[in-house]
Amino acid sequence: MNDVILFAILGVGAGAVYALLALGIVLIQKGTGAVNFSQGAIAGCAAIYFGVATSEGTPPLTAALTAIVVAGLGGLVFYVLVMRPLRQAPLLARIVTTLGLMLLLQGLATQVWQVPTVIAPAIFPTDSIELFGVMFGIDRLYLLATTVALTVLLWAVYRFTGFGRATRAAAENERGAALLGYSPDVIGAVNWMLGSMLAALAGVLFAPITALNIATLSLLVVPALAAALVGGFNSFGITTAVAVGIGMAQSLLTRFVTQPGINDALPFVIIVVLMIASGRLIPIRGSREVSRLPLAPAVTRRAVPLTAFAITVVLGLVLLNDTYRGGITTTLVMIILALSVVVVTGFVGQISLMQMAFAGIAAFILSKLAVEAGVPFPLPILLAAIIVVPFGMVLGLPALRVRGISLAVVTLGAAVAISSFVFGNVEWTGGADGSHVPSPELFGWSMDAVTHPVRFGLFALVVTLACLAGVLNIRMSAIGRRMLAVRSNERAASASGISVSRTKLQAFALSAFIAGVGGGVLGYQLGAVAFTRFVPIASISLLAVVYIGGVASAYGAVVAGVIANGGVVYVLLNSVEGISAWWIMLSGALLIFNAVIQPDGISVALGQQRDLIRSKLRRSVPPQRSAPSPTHA
Amino acid sequence: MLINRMTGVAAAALALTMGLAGCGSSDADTQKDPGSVSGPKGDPIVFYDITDATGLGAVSAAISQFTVGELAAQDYINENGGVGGRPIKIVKCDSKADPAATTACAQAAVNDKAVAKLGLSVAWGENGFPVIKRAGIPSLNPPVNPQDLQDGEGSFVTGGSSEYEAQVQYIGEELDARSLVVFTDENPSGQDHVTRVKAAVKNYGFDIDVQAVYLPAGTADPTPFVAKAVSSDPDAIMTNQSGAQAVSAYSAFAQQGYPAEQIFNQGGAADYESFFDKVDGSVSDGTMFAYAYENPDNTENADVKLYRDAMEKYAGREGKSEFYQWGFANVMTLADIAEEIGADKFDAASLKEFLTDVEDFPMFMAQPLSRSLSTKTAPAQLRPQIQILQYKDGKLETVRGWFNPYEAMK
Repeated sequence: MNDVILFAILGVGAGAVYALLALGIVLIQKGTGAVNFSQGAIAGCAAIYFGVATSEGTPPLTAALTAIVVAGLGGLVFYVLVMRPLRQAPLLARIVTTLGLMLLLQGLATQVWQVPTVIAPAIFPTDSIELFGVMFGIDRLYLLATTVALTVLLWAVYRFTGFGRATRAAAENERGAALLGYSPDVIGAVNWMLGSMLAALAGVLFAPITALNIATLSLLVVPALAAALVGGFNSFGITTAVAVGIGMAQSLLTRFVTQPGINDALPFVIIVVLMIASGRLIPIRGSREVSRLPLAPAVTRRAVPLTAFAITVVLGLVLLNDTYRGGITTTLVMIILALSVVVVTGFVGQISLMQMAFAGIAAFILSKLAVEAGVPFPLPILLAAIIVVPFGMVLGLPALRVRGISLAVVTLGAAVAISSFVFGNVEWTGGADGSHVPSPELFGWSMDAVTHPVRFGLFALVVTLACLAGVLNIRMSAIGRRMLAVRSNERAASASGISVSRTKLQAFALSAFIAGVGGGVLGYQLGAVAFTRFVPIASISLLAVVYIGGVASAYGAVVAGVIANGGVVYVLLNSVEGISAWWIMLSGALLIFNAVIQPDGISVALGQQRDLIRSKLRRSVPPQRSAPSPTHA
Repeated sequence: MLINRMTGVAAAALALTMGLAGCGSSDADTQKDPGSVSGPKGDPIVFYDITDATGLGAVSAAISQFTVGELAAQDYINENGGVGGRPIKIVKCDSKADPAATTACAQAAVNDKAVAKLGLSVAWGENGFPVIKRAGIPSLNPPVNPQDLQDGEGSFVTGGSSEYEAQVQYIGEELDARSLVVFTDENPSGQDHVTRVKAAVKNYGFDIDVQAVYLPAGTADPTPFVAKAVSSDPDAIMTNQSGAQAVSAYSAFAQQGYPAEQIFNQGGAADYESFFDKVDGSVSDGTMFAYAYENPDNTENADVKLYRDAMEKYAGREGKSEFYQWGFANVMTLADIAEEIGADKFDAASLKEFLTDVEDFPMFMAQPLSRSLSTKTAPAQLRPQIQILQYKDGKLETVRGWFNPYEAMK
């Protein structure tokens, strides 16, 4: 019994931090309608700054205030320059932009502080006290008290003050609030600022009891999002209670359950399942959902661009060295994976943060098929992709109950669960030994990606072309039109006789299949399957690069593959001393920049430029059968 | 309008960068970047240092010590005439603890016809190793991935392969322990850690109950895990936490009142820069380490003296950590092997052949390399000899000198 009390209390520390982050998420959602995925990264930067600054002699109070104030100002600037222009942008644009901020902050923190080995000074007393028969650090109680006090304060401010009423009004109906004289911009800016300050406060309070690692701290946003989701992105009290509950549950699971990964995944999975079962959604803001969707341009000519793409790849494989050949092959694999995002997110509008999980499941199945069952290359790629389709359909079921931001959080939870329960399962993935993939051979020819990079590259090209052609055909087919109809307006689509449920599940099944193909090709490229490729952050990064390329365009997937980690651009930059280290930061900055400037993606922008040039050329050349101009007359 | 918006976003990004850069930590003034000494004009001997220098998954800044040690050795060798007229050239590639970046580095090493892979890369086993193994390039990655120890055809482990076994032997013989907790990472490497400890307990014939406490990669607060580890009051705790994680975990152990002299770690954690100098003596005093190189505080040893002088001269640092020593020793020993083979014949194939059959070849600052010392479970290990050091009163003391932990096994 004592252990139950002790471990529940020990979990209060993490729970309190989750709560502060979640409260910030709620403020930002209330004020602007955006869900801030970078909340953990802001906390991480604040924590690391606090630790480093105090270790260099800055007084703790000064360092803490600096971190909180700078975070607040940063949040304000970010809202004014980035989020405000995106007020009418697609929902996905706003989500992806905060993911971009997360990557940007992670990259910056890594560049500026590397992996600091400093200890942040304790904010609260750390003396041990005895309560209910167990000994523990009193700092846990201070953390809890601080969080509860802030929760009550926020509740009072948002219930009884004019600003609070204005925020609540804007959350219900932004246009209505504007008509009453409340400025949505001011409301948004102040809430972003307060939300960022809460994140920084969480980081500062947590710094003394955590390793100051930006990657770890950024992922604090996952349980915080779960708590905010249960609180309906509205209730401060429920959000705090659930967040503290998650922290306590994780700690108790640590004590009493030995299954690896369960303490990370189980609380989150239970919450997500409850949310799906109850069908509760994030409240829809009055004027937000009318924002336009990413362009999904029609593709009438397919042969010419695909041929040009194929010729470019072949020339690259033949003419360049092995380093670039490897980069080209990685690009091709990433194009396939990106196409899976285009289908489910671009065409049907279902924000999925679990695509790399599908690829991972397929890759491990491929290993079993190739090594244990002896299925010859390349059949395991196809079989593994087919086997992963039911996974896609089952994991796509939540999309029938929730959509938008809710679905993004749910799929992120699914990715966490798969990573913990499936990839963390030693029996299935080989654990320490890993999962091996034999060197591929076709008709007696070695297709090994290292010893015969051109041959393997050509094979990857064929698979990529097949996937590209398939997705292009889907876009122009009846299925593609149904998908776009569902994306535009589910009720209208349903009224037109389209089965929304079937269309969504078709999309998840197709995208899982394509992701499975990508995972399979990746397995053969590497000769081994590493679960590290398929962790949740990999799915987030994939969505990010696809968004940059153009999430609703198959050619956007090509751009995504080119700029993806390990792809051609990466190899090029990696060859330049000093640039490669900035890769994460650059991709984050590019993501934000792209969301603001060209929310439809690079490929769509290039297409528009091409059309513009064509129309100008047409105008400059006199049409043959046109009527004679007055000067000719 | 568009240009204004673009300018605004760019200005914000620049301001953020400058603001954060302004509060970045700075290295000590005395430190300098090694690797600038030009050697003889011959065809360079290229080694690839593939290390997690940066990146989100990089668990410790100390990993980069490998690179610094290697470059200091490169400078030392090149300043002294190189190897048979050929300079040593170490090409750095940052694997960023990222699978895709690790694969890209391995492909670059193959393209540049590297003689060997050096440095420490945590995602190496499944993302980089298969690539260079197929190209016939020997991998000298420290045994952080299962493949590093278990693949005797492509991997050649020059140290640190018996740390867990050495700790178990010491705990069983000197502490007469009956209970042991392995406090380790929740990943394949951590699972391998537990498997090896259990196997070692069995093979030594000890009656020790072994429990595992896995620390998930995303754990922000290790306190509940530390509480679980000490809840059964074990006779010893073995851990593999280093750098920032070690600081956090050892502080939590101290808070829970667990004696430091009963906590055993790998040599990589015995690091003045990122651990001993960062924590209060009450946290680190008495901590125990299995250490694969000469005690860096023992400057009476000629190799250690040469090493410490070279580190001071070329890198401006004391170099009192196993990772610095490991990087330095690898390059010095490879240079000796190149002399043995003949500088003109020295390439990946000849090195691989040499290491496959090596017997009693001197390793700088350590015990000799011998293929005959490899075991069935660790065929890649060439040097299991190790020491047990204890950090006490501000310095490392050798509490058990060189021994081979496998000799006492059944």
